[in-house]
Amino acid sequence: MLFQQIVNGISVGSMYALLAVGFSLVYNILGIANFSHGAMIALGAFFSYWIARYLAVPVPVAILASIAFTGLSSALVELVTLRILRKRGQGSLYFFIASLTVFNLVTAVLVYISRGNIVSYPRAFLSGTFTIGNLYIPWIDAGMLLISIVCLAVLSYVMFKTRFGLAVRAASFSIKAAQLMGMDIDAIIQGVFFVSGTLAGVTGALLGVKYAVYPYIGNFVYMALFACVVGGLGNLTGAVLGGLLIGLLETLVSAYISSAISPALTFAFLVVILLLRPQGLAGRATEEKI
Amino acid sequence: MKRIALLLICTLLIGVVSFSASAADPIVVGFITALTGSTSLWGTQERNGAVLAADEINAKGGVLGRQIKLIVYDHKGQPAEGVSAYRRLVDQDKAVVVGGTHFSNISLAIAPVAEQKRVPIIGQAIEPKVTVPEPGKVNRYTFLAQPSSAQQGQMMARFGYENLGLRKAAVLADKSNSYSTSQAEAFAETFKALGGEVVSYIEYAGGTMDFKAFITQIKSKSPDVMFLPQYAQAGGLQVRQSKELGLNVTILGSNSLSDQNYIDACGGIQNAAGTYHLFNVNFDDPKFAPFHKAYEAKYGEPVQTYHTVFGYDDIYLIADAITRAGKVDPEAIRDALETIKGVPVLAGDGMFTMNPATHQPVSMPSWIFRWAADGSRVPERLIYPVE
Repeated sequence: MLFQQIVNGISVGSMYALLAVGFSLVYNILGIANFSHGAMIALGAFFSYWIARYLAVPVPVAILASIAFTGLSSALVELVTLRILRKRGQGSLYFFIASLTVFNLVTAVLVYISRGNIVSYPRAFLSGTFTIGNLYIPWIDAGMLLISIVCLAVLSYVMFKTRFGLAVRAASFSIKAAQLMGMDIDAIIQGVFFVSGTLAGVTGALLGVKYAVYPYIGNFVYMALFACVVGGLGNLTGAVLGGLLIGLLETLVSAYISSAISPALTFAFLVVILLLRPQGLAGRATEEKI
Repeated sequence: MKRIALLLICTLLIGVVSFSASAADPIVVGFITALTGSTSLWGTQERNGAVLAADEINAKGGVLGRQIKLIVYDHKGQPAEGVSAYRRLVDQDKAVVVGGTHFSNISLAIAPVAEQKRVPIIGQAIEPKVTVPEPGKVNRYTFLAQPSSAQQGQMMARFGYENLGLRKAAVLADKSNSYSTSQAEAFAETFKALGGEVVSYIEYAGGTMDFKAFITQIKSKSPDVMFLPQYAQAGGLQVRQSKELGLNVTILGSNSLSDQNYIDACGGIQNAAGTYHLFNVNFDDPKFAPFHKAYEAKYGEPVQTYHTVFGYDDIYLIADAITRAGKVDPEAIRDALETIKGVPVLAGDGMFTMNPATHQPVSMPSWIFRWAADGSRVPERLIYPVE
């Protein structure tokens, strides 16, 4: 039973990891917690659902279309909030507030449109299960883990093997220096938002398939934040580790300690981790950016 | 012409249903349900039932020779809105009796206000505390007209143990919702009293989406039945995740699992087939033919959910109470509601009797349905609660 619970935990954790990586990406370059990530999760879930349901296209196609949409939406959010604030020389707190506003606005609009209903995909995608010995592994969980791994592989390729990635890393080191080197910093930041938006979109859509589509699904962004904090803010590897750890903790606490207070106990564990290692699991102690 | 225009406007504004040209003033009956919000489908179905019943009664000459004027307000699924709707009905519209709601949290909020305002309200909330806030005490002005959650949990346990021969039960309940926990407690208590074993009893935090940790735990105890007193969405997710983890046991559930949403949330009928759930009414019974005909004639579409019956039955129970009260007075109507005996209704076995000590129905049965592999719902049996 323990192994089955670990499998359950990893399946939850891999989603958190994927969410956390997208969240961490923006933090990495700007030192800002970007809560519009939650809006992109919710938009990803709803758009892939609407496309699959009303255009009657296969679910994977719907997910791909929705990812492109959330990437663009995220870039648009950057354009109408962060860029304006940056040009006016406003501090990061203002963007933090703006991103929370976007998150709440999108959630409110989705509540209105969906009338608060919870809906499920009309047909099964990645349904069923396979077994290894006594372990039951649902295809959707295996698929999500695989998609997480692919996304992370693509992301690390982009970050470490492309000029864009080099630019992002340079900018995350110092925006000013990167600008002095003649880089188009606006384009880089917008690119980061686009990538982060696509990651939120794919996770949102998969969460919708795995569980259900509902307006408050964007609240998973808080798990992304916690995963990042535990793993070390701004550290992509840390984000993955943090996500997996929280998923495992949640599951094992539910299974072996108490189900009804599992969320409370999970957070108590996280507080202990942070007391012992304030910079997070994989983080280095850094000075504040901007 | 002016009068007709006025009537039309009134109808549009407040959902007034029927008017009388007779000299006597109509009797104002209030109704509170969800006309907007996520549960508006249930609410509009309930209203349709209430309006249909009021029309039928008025067409036969009304009550005490006077027409019923039904005023329907929206509680939007929110307790505060429910309370203000009740106040408005009583204070402004001078309603003498009110029908609704079928939401436990909303009826719980209205009950103390009804005690102050002294205008009775009868609805289908499932939480027994709506009328019996604590043992030995009863809210004088609040009445319920469907089996309580405790009775529903009890009926399901008896059906599982006695009719299906199940012996080892697992129970999964939403800690944040009394609809869920009160059914779960009654189920476990009854199942054990009958001689069965509750091998796993899990209460989870509200809002949970991933139930695999609990299901893995349940599976290790090898039950032969799982009781899921849930709303359709959560119940469907639990069943889907159980199948994913290879737990294939009999599923017993609450009346919410009758929703089509349940099938989608299960990931398709292949997962939902075989689920047993409670249901207030057997619409396929031939005796419902006139009701279906009247409903379709009025609304141009078939009945969609069982909440229609709630509204319809409430109005007939109210009409009976006013008739027996003999006068249009809230206190007299209250007394008559308390002593409803053998009044024909659609729900259960078609007869309604009120228990004066609890303000809940006496021995009101429920149907148990099974989801079949072709996506239809098959009535299994009518089951009575044991008092």
